[in-house]
Amino acid sequence: MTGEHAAQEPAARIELLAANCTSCMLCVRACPTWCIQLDSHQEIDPDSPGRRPKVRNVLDRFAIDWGLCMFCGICVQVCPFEALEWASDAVRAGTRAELDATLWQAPAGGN
Amino acid sequence: MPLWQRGAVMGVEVTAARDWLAHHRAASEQGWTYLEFLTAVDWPDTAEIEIIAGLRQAAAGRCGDVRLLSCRVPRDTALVPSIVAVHPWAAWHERETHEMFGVRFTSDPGLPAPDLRPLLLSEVGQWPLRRTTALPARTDRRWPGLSDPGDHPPPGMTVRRRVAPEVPGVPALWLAPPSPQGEHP
Repeated sequence: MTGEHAAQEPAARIELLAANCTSCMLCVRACPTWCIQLDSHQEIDPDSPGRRPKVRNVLDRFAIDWGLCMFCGICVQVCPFEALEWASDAVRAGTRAELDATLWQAPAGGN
Repeated sequence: MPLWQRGAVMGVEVTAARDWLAHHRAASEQGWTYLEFLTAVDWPDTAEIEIIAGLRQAAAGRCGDVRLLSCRVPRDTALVPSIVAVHPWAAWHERETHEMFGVRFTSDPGLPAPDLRPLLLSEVGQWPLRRTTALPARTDRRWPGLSDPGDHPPPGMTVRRRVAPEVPGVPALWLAPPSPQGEHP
């Protein structure tokens, strides 16, 4: 660990900042352990100016399989939108339902 | 200083498979009595398996040089003389090399046949460290990077054709049709 990191809190989990995510798939494709699942769809941006409708990506589900993740941080590095960041609260062992509750899911009724 | 930095690794001495045992015996008589490791490397391009062994001089201990001996055999037969007669503890390495690469070690007539029972696997015949053996975690699963937001366009718009990204970490060798069961049992 470099001095810069030593002063920070331990990196124990990777967290999604959904507001920054554009569903570009860069993190999913860069992951060496294939542990990120990202589901998304496209919709027409209602605020787009001009006659041609602009299409935007909408994130539906983002999941990291903590059984496969090796905490290499490549996804954090590769994200151009700073939508992934290290968090210090570790993912604890638990039941499937408890683990699923730690995953990011689009709020019901769209976002 | 880390252990691996002590002493130099000398160039690989390539021998014919039939001289493998004799070469080890000669090296042992020159003082290279400590077999550090024995393993193999698969070279599918030339259809060969290379057996490689590292030797040290016991007198020099861990500070001495490592001398590498190697021989190449065809992949499909992969018969190599056992060196257990020179280094009894090579038996473990030869069992492992057989289990992982499908190399068969042979002994001179009159000597007991090498013990090639598997150490880890319940059944042999897959040869996990041959480069043509596919890793199920990479071939039995769809790469998550294949999905794309454009696969689900807004209502009324069609999916735009795109070039599928190349799946990383899956060599073309794994996708080739399996070779006929010509490899020895």
